[in-house]
Amino acid sequence: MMTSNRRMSDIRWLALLALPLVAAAPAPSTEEAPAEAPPPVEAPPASEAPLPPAGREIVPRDTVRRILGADVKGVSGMVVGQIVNVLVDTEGKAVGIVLDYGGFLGVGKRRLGVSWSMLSFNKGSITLGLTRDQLKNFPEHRDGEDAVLATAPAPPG
Amino acid sequence: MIPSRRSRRSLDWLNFFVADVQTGFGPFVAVYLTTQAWTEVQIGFALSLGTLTTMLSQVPAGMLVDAVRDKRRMALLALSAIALSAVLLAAFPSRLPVLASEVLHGFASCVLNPSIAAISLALVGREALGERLGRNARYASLGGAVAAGVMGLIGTYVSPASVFWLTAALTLPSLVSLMRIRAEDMHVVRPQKKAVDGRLLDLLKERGILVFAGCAMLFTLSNAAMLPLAGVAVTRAAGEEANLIIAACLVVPQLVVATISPWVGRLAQQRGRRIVLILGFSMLPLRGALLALVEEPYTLILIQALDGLSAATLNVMLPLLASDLTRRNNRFNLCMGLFGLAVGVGATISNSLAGLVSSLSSPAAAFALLGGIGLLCTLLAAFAMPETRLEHEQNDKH
Repeated sequence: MMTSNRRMSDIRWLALLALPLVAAAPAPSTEEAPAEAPPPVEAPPASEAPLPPAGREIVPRDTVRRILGADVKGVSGMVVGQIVNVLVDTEGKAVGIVLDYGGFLGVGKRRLGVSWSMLSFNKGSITLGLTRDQLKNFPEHRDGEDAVLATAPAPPG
Repeated sequence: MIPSRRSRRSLDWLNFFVADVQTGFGPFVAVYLTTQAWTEVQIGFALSLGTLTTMLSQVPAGMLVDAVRDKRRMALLALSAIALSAVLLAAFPSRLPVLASEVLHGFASCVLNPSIAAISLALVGREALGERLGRNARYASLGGAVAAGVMGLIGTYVSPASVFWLTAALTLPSLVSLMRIRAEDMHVVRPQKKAVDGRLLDLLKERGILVFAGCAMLFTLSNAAMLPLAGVAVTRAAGEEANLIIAACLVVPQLVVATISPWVGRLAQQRGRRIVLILGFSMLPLRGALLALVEEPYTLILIQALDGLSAATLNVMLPLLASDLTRRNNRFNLCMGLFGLAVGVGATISNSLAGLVSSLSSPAAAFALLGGIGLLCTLLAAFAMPETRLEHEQNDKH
């Protein structure tokens, strides 16, 4: 009795495992049928040359820097925050950054969006062209909503 | 049974330096990992692992400290582990070492806190424990105040990693203080092997333990998110002086705790535990209401003084009640572990809850909710908590 029950549950487990394989099998044929776009890449016939390997562009170490996690200095030269993300538009051009701003010993940190134009990159340091007073009451950056980027203050009048 | 002056002073300094060591491991870890280009998801995972380890370790660590006779050795091992976890963070900020650091720190903290309380109990006995715990809290908050100031400054002006190097360095004076506590002064009463009602389940059936665990959870649920939320409000509203105000918001409650804790312990010894609990916990709804209503950043510093009043209450009363409620079975550290778990659960939920309400509604609504939970905590203590002071214990002066 016990062994036949075990075999039944073994078979049930095998069936469960086999389901995705069975489900996956017909998929390629259904995909190929409606395709009007360029046909899926198949193994090239022996006469065609394979695609060439990727080229190499050597960039000297001192000419580039990583920016995620990089310190951003304020107008006075003191570190005011770190870059946590870069915002790019649909063409891939950088529009702004998300900055972890302010705080003391980690307490009071805020996430702010800052326009790319407010950053200046020189000699390995990144400087934000806005003071703490100018960023007072600036709304926080939230994912899923319109990003509010801090940019140059509107001219008076 | 009066312990030698050397042991008493060494215990004071032990509390001071341990608080220093633990200061860096708060929200600052997230800042440090950000500068190491960790993503928010990765940081969240590492911190959650630390929190989970802490919560899972509370009760087992309590059992461990109960079972071991040499409480000083437990504290020694725990401090060494914390030093190691600080070095791992500072020197190897990549995935595996940081995760190891979080786990190590979580477990070691769960061993360290009951060990220090157990050492205190072994040194002075139950009758004078209230006042001794008040002194512990005083030195711990002084250590926390100094460390918050110093580490905040070097975190900003030197480098974030230097905070953790300093943390590792500060374990050395902690160890020195620990070793200077004389073993002859300590009278450890271990739980008997087959104690009647000494198991975890028996503790859980005790009304006082259940009620206070509930209070501890509600307290931390109310309290833990108030300062971070207020900190964000300060950064938002204060401009150039923001960092100074936040530093003051961190230091002022510590100074209040340093000032009043021995008095809290004495009051609990002379007048009873319930009155202290009710007075101290009632600061929470008051603070929640004020934080919801007041916008001016400088006033927040004053409101943070109330934080000191309630924090002093919990810091002194938690180990004191653990001692009271385990008179019969001496499962002091297990009870400390239980209360620690309740505190951990409250703290974990607090920040998420407050963050959610703050973004859905407004920070003021979040403060009001936290204050309401604080009110619940006060009412629970007022109506359900039994008095655990024994009449004959009130007259001892050490």
